[in-house]
Amino acid sequence: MLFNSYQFIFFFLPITFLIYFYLTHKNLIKESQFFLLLSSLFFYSWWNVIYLPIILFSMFFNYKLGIFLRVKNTIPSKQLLVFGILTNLSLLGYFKYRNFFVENINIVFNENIELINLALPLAISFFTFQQVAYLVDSYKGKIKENNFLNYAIFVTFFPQLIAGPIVHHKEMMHQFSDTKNQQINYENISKGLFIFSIGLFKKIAIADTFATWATAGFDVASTLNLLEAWATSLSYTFQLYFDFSGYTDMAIGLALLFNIKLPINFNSPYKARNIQEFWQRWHMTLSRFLKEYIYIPLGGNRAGVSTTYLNLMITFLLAGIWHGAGWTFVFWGFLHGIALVIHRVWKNFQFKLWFGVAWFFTFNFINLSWIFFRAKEWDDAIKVLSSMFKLDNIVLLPFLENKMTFLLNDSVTFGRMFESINGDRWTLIFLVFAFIIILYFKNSMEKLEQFSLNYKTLFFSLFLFLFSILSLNKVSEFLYFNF
Amino acid sequence: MYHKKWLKTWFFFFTIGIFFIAGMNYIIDPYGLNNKFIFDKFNKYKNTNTGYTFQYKTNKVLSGKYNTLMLGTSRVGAVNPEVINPYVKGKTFNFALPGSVTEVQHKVFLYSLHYNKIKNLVYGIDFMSFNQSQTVEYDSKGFFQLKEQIENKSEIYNFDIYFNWKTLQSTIEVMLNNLLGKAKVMEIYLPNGMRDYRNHIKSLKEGTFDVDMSIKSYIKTYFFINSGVYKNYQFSVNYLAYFRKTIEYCQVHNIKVWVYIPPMYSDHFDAIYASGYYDEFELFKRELVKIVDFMDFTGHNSITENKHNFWDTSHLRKEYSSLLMAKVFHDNSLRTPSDFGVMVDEDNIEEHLKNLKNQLEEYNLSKILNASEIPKLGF
Repeated sequence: MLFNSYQFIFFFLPITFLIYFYLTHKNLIKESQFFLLLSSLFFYSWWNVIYLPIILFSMFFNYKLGIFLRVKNTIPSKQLLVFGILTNLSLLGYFKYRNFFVENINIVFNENIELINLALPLAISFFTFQQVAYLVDSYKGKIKENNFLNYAIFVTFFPQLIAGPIVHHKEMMHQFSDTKNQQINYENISKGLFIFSIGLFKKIAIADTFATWATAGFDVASTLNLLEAWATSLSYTFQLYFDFSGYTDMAIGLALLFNIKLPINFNSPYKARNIQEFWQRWHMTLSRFLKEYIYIPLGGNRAGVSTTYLNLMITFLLAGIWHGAGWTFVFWGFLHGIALVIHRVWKNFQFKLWFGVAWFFTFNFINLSWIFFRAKEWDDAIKVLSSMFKLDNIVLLPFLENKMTFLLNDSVTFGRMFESINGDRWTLIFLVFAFIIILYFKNSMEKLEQFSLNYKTLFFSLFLFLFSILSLNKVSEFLYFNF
Repeated sequence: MYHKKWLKTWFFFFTIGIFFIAGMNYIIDPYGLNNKFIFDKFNKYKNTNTGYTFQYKTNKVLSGKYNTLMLGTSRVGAVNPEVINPYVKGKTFNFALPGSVTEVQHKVFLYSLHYNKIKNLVYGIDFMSFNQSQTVEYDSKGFFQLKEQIENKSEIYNFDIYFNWKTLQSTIEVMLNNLLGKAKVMEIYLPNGMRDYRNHIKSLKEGTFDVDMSIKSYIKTYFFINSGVYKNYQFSVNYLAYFRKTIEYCQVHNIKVWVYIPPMYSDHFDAIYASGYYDEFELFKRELVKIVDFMDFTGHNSITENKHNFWDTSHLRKEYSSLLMAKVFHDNSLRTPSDFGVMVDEDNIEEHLKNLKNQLEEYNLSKILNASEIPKLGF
């Protein structure tokens, strides 16, 4: 079930909300939590019920192992932890990476091992990460709570189950047991509705519009002219941001309806002036996880300069493969790892760039690296990338023909500018509009912080919500559901 | 303001807003989905419903009153199903879907069977329906949105079209155009599924219909290298399997089948050669005949060489539906040009293809594709 669907907005959400608070109102706390767990599992099973045993197994296994890790056993804790992490990674590896692995074996050793037609269980990357963190912290003795229901809701809580934010048990579990959170809170409902409306609008009105041009450019067109190639890559850059941050806004809003505060995940990432700042603003909960559970355990920056660079590379190569089983994802991670290393070197030499230039380089690097993240095949990535820098195929709008006849030659022609990606003048307008939003407007989290009760916020969120609801017949999945 | 008041006001205006908009859309009914309220000054002339092909047709076929189904692309969509009724002694529904591939055709065929006692299938099969580069997800978005419901044979309703921003825009447009007397006649799907080119009929009567521009625009729409219907044409074995499945289903379930390749204006036929797709075009026919005999209307003949028999390169005018179906149903009571339509089987396929190749004429495709004054149409 998608957040941007009639079923979710008009049936699942109101019913879950009303029954949950009816139960808490009647002081049936355990029952209300159990109901929330069941609702979340129902929400998860809506796509395909065959996924359900996988998440249930993962949840019970990690919960039990967490308890074992916290009590003294005949088996040393470290071995238990390694066993736990390997089991989690095996589950993820089998479902997500098996075919990728087999494909590469077939290529390298000229074998013909059959691929398995496996459906990737939704959210497996997310719930695996969260639970590995739980195991590590259990081993370190940082966890005291043993309540199974709280743990189960922490893993399955429907607002963040499918695509994050990647939550940490220590920021979540106490919220589920806090009695204050079991009463209807109108302030949180207003804020939740406000931020949900913004997220819904970002997804439906902005991301899905860019998706049309990005898909045409990457997946359909066999050749692109210079401007089409730039429009394609920028469309995806904006689609991804508005899609994923829109989803996160909705998740944060939904959680607020239940008095749960989810961590912030985006903080105007495209305003970043260097790659490190970008990762402090983009998918912040993933960055936190990578830092705490990969980069620091590898040694972080404590073991000399070259080891720091190596650790950065390893962390981002893993980030790449976490996003998807393909070499294009690995390469995307490699690019970001290299960029972070260069940034460190640059910083060590205390070089500084002017604000605008720094932003320009950072944004363009991110825009170019997303091409590898998006492309289904290497050829698609090369097609878009090479067309972005080829000056022998430029098509300008016909109305410029009279004014710019001096340009007319074999490389420059006049015609429909974005024809191959099914675009028109609206493509250009949307791109300019998106640049203005990402650079000059406050982001949704800043808006939420400043939320006040007045007619401005009321009609603003009402308009966004109404517009989005009335544009719902083109229901489309969120990009991060694939990861 | 208190939080409770903010929330109450929010929900109050949301409820009022959504029901007002849906109510307006239902009453003005800009796409003619219900036709319950007709006010001369407000909504007599409606907008086209062709933007909702799948929803409209899947909903209409639920009625269960049809014994015959027409399948194919928009070339079939322009054919009047009424002319088939006497041949099949029942009612015919035209379930042609513009630019559709055989996978989509197969699935709507099974969907229609679920709600109707279909005894006859009149299948106008097209070269474009076997293009590997045409994907269901990207090129049949209307179907893709309803795929799950169609596969599960769930009833499809149109109510969500009323709860829609685009419909509201159309509602306002229809009201204003009717009020100001500026409403245009637009092409629509009739309840029997046929695409009625009433806009072209009107222009033709007024002497404003430009068949040459229409032909050039369609050539561009089909042959444009990146986003044309024939883009990167590769004959699909997968789509062929869907066609085979449909025919085999009919054979097993005693459904009579008539298969034909619809006529296209001869320029279109020549353009297929000029674009370099002719080998694939021949392969398509060779593969087809292995599954079923068919009547082929493509090539140069007395009907296809006259541009005034078509609205563009693909869509035969309604008045030729009887002629076309008389040929398909081997009805000798109607005089039909002898060169229009060749019955093809495994014995004569090679000779037929040789004859067609001899008919090919030189065609300057690149001149049309590169002309910026010719618009590319959207399907």
